[in-house]
Amino acid sequence: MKKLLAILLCGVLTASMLVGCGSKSDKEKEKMNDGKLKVALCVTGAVNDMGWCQSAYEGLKLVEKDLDCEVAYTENIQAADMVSAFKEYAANDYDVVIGHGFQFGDPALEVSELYPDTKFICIEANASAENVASYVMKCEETGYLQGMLAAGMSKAGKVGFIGPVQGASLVKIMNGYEDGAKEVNPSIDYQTAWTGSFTDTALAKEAAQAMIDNGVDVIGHCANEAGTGALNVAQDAGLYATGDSYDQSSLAEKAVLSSAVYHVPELIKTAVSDIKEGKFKGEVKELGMAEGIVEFVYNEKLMGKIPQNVKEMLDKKQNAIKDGSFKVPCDTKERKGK
Amino acid sequence: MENKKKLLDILWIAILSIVAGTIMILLCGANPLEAYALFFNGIFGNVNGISEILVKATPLVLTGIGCAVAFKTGFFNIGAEGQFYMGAIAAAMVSLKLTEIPGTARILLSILAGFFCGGIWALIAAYMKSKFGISEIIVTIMLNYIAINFLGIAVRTFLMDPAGAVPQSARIDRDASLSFIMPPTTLHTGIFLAIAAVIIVWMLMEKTKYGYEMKVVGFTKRAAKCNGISVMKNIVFSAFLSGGFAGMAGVIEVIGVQKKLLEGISSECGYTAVLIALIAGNRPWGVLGVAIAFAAMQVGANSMQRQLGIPSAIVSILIGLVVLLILGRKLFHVSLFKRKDREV
Repeated sequence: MKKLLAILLCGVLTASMLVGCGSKSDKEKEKMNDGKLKVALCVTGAVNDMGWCQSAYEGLKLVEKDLDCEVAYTENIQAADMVSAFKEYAANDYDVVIGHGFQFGDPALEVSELYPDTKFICIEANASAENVASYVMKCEETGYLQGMLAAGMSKAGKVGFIGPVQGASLVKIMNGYEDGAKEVNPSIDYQTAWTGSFTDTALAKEAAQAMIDNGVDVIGHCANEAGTGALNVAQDAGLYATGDSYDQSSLAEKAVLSSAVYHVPELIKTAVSDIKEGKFKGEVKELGMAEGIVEFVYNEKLMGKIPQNVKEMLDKKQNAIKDGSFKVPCDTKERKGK
Repeated sequence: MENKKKLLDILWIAILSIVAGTIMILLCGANPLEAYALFFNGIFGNVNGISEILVKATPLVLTGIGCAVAFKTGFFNIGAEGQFYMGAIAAAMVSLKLTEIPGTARILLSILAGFFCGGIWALIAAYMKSKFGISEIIVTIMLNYIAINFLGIAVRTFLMDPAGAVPQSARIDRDASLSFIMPPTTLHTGIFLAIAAVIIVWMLMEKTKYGYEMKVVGFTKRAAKCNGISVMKNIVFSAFLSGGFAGMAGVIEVIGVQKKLLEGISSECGYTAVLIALIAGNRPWGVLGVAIAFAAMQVGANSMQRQLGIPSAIVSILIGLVVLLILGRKLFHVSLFKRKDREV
C-alpha cells in the first residue's frame, strides 16, 4: 500500500511540475485544426527498415509536403495493439488513419464502427465499409515478370522463393512468381518457404541457404527487411536473386538481377488526395503497372548477363500487362506443397 | 521522521526518472515539454485515454493478483504468460467451437474453461515442485515456451480462420464477447471481473483460515509442517488459483478486447505481472493500484509515440528505472543515512 502511494505521489509530482505545458498543447491543438487534414500512419515494423514500412513513411512525408497535411505515425505495432492504435488516433480527431498492411483490415473494420467520422485506409487489405477503403497494388504483375526472369536465368531448373507471413498480399506474389516461372519452364522445380517474420534476417538467410543446398540457383523473395538476408546469401554463393519492394540492386549488386518496385509513397498520396478532393469511396481499389504504382526494374550492372531472348520475352510481357492484353492471375490462396 | 524519509525517497525517484526521461527524449530530437504534455494528454486528455488505461490494466490486475497469491505462498510462478495463453486458447475453443450454446452461457463457460486450463498449467509446475523438488521457476518458464508455441500451432491449424490466410482464429460472434460499458470507447465488462478477483483474493488472504495457512507456508515451510498445515496442499491450491487468474486474463483479452485468438495476444503482460506483484508487495489492493499505474504509463507513452514519433521504448526503460529505484529504495536509504551520520 505504501509503495502504491509512493507511485501515485510520484505521478502527481511529475504532473504538477508540468502543468505549464498543458495550456501549450491546447493552443497547438487549435493550430492543428486550422483546416489541415490530420493524417496518421500505422506500420508493423520500423520506419527505417529499407523496405515496406519505410516506403509508407516516405509516403507520409510526401503527404505532409505536397498535400499540406498534419501527420503522425506509430511504428512496430504488434497484431494485438492494432485496434488500440487506430482507436487512439480516431479519438484524437485524426481525419485519416492509414494501416499499412493486410493485417490492418480487420482492426480497421472494428474501429470504423465506433468512429464514423474518421476515414480508414488499409494498404493491401481486403476491407471495405462506409468509411474504410483498401488500396491494393497488383504486386502479382511484377511477381510474374520476376518469376519469368528467374526461370530464364536458372541453369539448374530450380527456383526458390522466400515469403514472410502467409498473408493474401504476399501469397499472390509467391503464386505470381510461380506462374511466371512455369510459363517459361513448365517443368521448373519451385521451392518455397515462409519464415514467419518480416524482420528476422537470419531466418531468411537460413531458408535461402537450405534452398541453395537443394540445388536452387535463383532466389526470389517478398520478405521486406528480412529478405535482404536471402539476397546476401545468394551473393555469397555466387548465384542470382530478385529484389522486392524497391530497387534492391545496391544491397547485393552481383546477385540482384531485377527488382519489383512498389511506389507506395505515390499510392498513399493517391489515397489521401482522394479524400482531400472528396472522392473517397469505401471500396477495394486495385492499382498496378498501368497506373505506374508497380514497376519492374533491372539492375543496370547485370544487364549484360541476361540473354537477349529472355529480355525480349520480358519486354513483350511487360507491354502486354501494361496495355491490358494480358492479365496476371491474382491467386491469394496459398498453394500447399506438391 | 519515517514519513519525511519516504517523501524524500519519492521526490528522488520522481526527479531521477524525469531527468532520465528528459535526456532520452532530447536524444530522440524532440521537445521534452511537448512530449510530457502529450504523455499526460494521452492519459487524462479524453475519455478514450482513461478507458484505454482500464482496458490495459484489466489483464495486468488479473495476472498480477495471480502472481501475488503464488508469491505469498512461496510458489514463484513466473509462468503467468503461459497460463495466460492457455486460458486464451481455452476461451477461443469454447467461444468458436461450441456455438450451439447461447451467448451469456458461453461467456461464463469460456471464463471457467480458461480459469481451469490456466490453473492446470500452473499445477504441472506445482506438482513437479512438491513431488520431485524441481524448481518451479524453471518449470514455469519452460511451460511458457510450450504454451506460446502451442498457440502458434493452434492459430495455424485447428483454430485458424477458415476464411483467412493470416494465422489468426475466426472472429468470435458478438453474443459471446464481453459488452462495452461506454461506447465509443472499448471499455468492457472485464474490468469488473478484475476488481472482483482483487476482492476475492483480499478476503481469502486476510479474512480466512485458508489464507492464513497459505501465508504461513510462504513464510516458513518447516513451521507450517510442524503445526499440521499441509505444505503440499497449500502450494497446489495457490498454484491453481494463480494460474487460474492468469488464464482468466487470457479469456478476457480474447472475448473482451481482440475478439479472436492471435499470436502475441498477451503483450507480455504475464512477465509484467511479476514486477507488479513485486512492487505491490503481494498486497491485493496494491496490485490493483500498481497495475493501473503501469497501464497509465503505457498509455501515456503510446500517446507520446503516436503524436510525436518518440519510440515508446523510452517508457519501457523508464518503467525499468522506476521499478529499480522503488525496489532499491532501501539501498538508497543506507547511503542517505550514512551521509547524515557523517554530517553529525
